[in-house]
Formats: sequence, structure tokens, C-alpha cells
Amino acid sequence: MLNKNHKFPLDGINSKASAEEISAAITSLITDEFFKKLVAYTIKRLLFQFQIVYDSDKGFKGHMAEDIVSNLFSSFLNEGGRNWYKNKFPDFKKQFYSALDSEISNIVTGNFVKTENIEIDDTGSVLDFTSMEFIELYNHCISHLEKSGADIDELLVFECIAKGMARREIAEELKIPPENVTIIRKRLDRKINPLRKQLESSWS
Amino acid sequence: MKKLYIKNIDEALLNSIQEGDSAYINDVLSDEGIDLEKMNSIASKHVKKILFLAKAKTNKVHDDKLLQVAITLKEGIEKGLERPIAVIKNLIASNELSFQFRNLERLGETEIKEIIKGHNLLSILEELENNEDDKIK
Repeated sequence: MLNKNHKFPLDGINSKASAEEISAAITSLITDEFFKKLVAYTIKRLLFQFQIVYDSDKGFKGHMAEDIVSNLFSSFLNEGGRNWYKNKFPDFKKQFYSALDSEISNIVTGNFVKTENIEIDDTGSVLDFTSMEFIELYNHCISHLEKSGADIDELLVFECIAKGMARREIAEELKIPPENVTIIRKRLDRKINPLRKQLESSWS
Repeated sequence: MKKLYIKNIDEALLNSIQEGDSAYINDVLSDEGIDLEKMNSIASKHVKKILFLAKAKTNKVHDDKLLQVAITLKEGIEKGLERPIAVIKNLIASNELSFQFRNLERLGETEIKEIIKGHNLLSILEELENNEDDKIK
């Protein structure tokens, strides 16, 4: 029988990439466009998760989004900095987004002790698609989107999004290629943004 | 319920950014009041810095490995072990540098690094494996 001090081998559980692998992944990933994408992601994550409106001149809490992104890249390259857990994130891009979520959370909460790959807060409950509240919310959103000019494809994709489905799941559900989901979602996003704001501020 | 509903919408919007093309990202940044021209210049500056750091890191890692192999070879040569001596002689011959490095005992780490540079370090290490059991020449 194993005693409580027994340590399981970490191989295969926390397989860390070498410094060479991290450098190579960063070199092949980073472009001006990708950097801008990360800046946009940071600004939106601040708004959605923490309700912080980013100031384009002053940033937030003295941090500019571009510096957060840049410092995170540096942290992956520094000794004793962030690691790339290859078995959890075979794709370095996914590792980077996870680390970025963690970094943003640390800055907002003032927790400057490095935490690796925190999971974004889950409310711990699931949507009951048959409840009256869900149906009311859904009807309200559909009506709002229709008024904004959303077509049937956009409404179907929205329905899936509201249920928390990922792009691939939506593609399977609607029997269309994932690329088409992206195209439809692009059209939908501009209509969702005002809907989201309205939902948060007034609808109850 | 509403919180979770909004969360699902938020995650979808964040996924759109992750998958978005350049025009879409520019739209998102503009909507947030970001000056695109300024942001292009900022992004370019940061990317250059990050690429420089990544290259420096790769060079450092390679240099550390080179030094590690050079030290292993040097120690083997000093002990008069057969295999490291054979390895270094072959490398010197293949580099056509034999006239410069005739006296193996006097080779320093820097010179050994020069000799092994450009060769497959892993295969050199494999050749040196088990050199503790190696015979003294």
C-alpha cells in the first residue's frame, strides 16, 4: 500500500518543454498581427471577466495591454519564468492564452505570486435549457438580434453560443464546416456586443 | 442564470478574437479606442524585441551545450581516454585543422568548442558515452 508521502512520477503529467522548444515555438508563432490579437484579447478579457473598461491612453492599474503581452513572452524565455506544459497544451498558442488569462487575473487581483494556468472562474452551475428563465433570456436575445438584422444562420449560431458550445460542436450541430461557423460568427459579433451590454445593464 | 448566459456569450466573443483575421482584430481594437497606426508601431517594436530575446535564448542554450561537450572532451583527453581522443582527432581531421591542433593535451575549452562547432553534438555525446569504462591510451 502507498503511504501518504509517496510521490508519483511526474513524467507524462507535467511534461515541460525545453528552453529550445519554447524559443522555437515563440519564433514561429509571433507576428505583428498575432501580437495585436493578444492585445485585443487582453482588453476584452478585462472587460468580460472583470468588468474593467480599458483606457487606451492609461491602460489599467498602470499596466498597458501591450506590456502585459510582451512581458509574458519574456517570462516564457526567462530562466525560472513560465513553463510550457506540453501534455496539457500540445499547441503552444493554447498554452500562451492560458498563461495570459492567468497573468491578467494576477494583475487584477493584485496577486503577484506566479500562478500557472489558472482556470477561468466557472460559476459552478449549468444552464437549464428548459427553464422559464432560459427561455425568456433566449427569446429576448433572439428578438434583439432580429431587430439588429441578424439572419437565420446567425440566429442558429447564437443559439449554440448561448448554450456554451465550441466552434467544432456548433459545426457538428448545424452540419456545416467549422470555417463557415467562423464566417457567420464574424457577422454576428457586431450584433452581440450591444446585446451583451444591454443584457448586463438592464435586462432582468 | 443570466451570469452564465453572458459568460457563454463572452467566451464566444473571445474565441472570435482568437480565430479572427487581421481586419476583425483591427475592428475590435478601433472599437476600444485604440489608435491603429500607433498600435501597429507598438506591435512591431515589441515583436522585434521578443524575436531578439528568443534568438538570444536559442544561442545561449546551444552555447551551453557546446561548452558541456567541450568540457567532457577536455576531461577525457586529460585522463588520456581512448574514445575522446579518437573523437577529437576525427573532428580535427574532418575540419582540416590538424596543423593548428596537433597537441591535444594543450587544447582549451574554447579551442575544443571551435572544433566541435557545426557538428552534431548529440552524436558526439553518444560516441563519448560510457567513456568511464574507456581504456587509458
